[in-house]
Amino acid sequence: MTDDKKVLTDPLARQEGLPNPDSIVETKEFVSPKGRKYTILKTTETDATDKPPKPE
Amino acid sequence: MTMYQMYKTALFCAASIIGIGCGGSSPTTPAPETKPPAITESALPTGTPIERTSTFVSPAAKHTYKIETVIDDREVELRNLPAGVRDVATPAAGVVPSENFAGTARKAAKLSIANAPPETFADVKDLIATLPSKDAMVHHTPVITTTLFSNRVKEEKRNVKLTAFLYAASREDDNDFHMIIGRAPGADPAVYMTAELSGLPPANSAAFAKLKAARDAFKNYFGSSVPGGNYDFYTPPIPVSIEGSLFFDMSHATGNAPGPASLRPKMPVIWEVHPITRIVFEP
Repeated sequence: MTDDKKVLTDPLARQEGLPNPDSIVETKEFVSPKGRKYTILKTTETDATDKPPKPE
Repeated sequence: MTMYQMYKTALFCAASIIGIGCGGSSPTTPAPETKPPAITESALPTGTPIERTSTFVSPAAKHTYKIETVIDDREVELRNLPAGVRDVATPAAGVVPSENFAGTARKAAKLSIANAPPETFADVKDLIATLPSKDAMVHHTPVITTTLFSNRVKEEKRNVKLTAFLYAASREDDNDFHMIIGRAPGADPAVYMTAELSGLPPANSAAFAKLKAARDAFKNYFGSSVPGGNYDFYTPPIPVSIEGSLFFDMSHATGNAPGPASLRPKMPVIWEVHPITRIVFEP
């Protein structure tokens, strides 16, 4: 388990709004154009919006 | 036949007044050759420009059908993509993903901007408190359909300016960027909702300039880190200011709600800010 996943699975450390640790496939540092630092957690989570409706 | 194929061939059937019937979804897949009921009106909405009209006689029962061909109003770039990649958010290697809207459900509403002054909200929870219930919208009069031409209803003719935080985002099959926004970190209870940067309408659309500017702001902010078809989560969540119109996602009135599984339990509405007309990161 990576250090990132340890943090995410620790109930005391886990923040609201984070994904299920099992869905994380990659972590990536991101520096915004204004210089702020974030971590991007790339996941396997998807939803199924806007699928074409079946013809009636 | 896929929805895309149906749309591309754009064969809408209507009967004439001399005992002609309408043969179902498309002349290429005709209905059983029993005599269909006479229909005297075009299936197209009033005012739809018709490129040409022709006649089709079914081979078995010799029923005559009138075919009204309309122009595929998606952009040339999208229409010309190779089959198999034109409608996907993550196209084959080397193919630049389209920026154009590729969906169908409630397209008219999704690509329009409400004509109303903006209402300002400093908290997602406060905005949600103003939204009509799901039950009220599902049983709305007039009925809200999921067709291409389903436009905004009265309750959706609202614009908002919202201070929020971006928790997650993905790129959808229709080329929308789907953003999950929420309250400030630590706010109790945590609440999230959807806000979408629409795929682009035709360049001559009244909404094009604003939708493109918002989409460009998103892409310029993330650069090479623009999300793909799966959700990216951001920690800490990114502060944003969002402006856009309100939209009820009738497509998800039944079945699974949209959003990533991790946040879905705390997304109490299927209302969205859609389309986003302006987004400022780290305001």
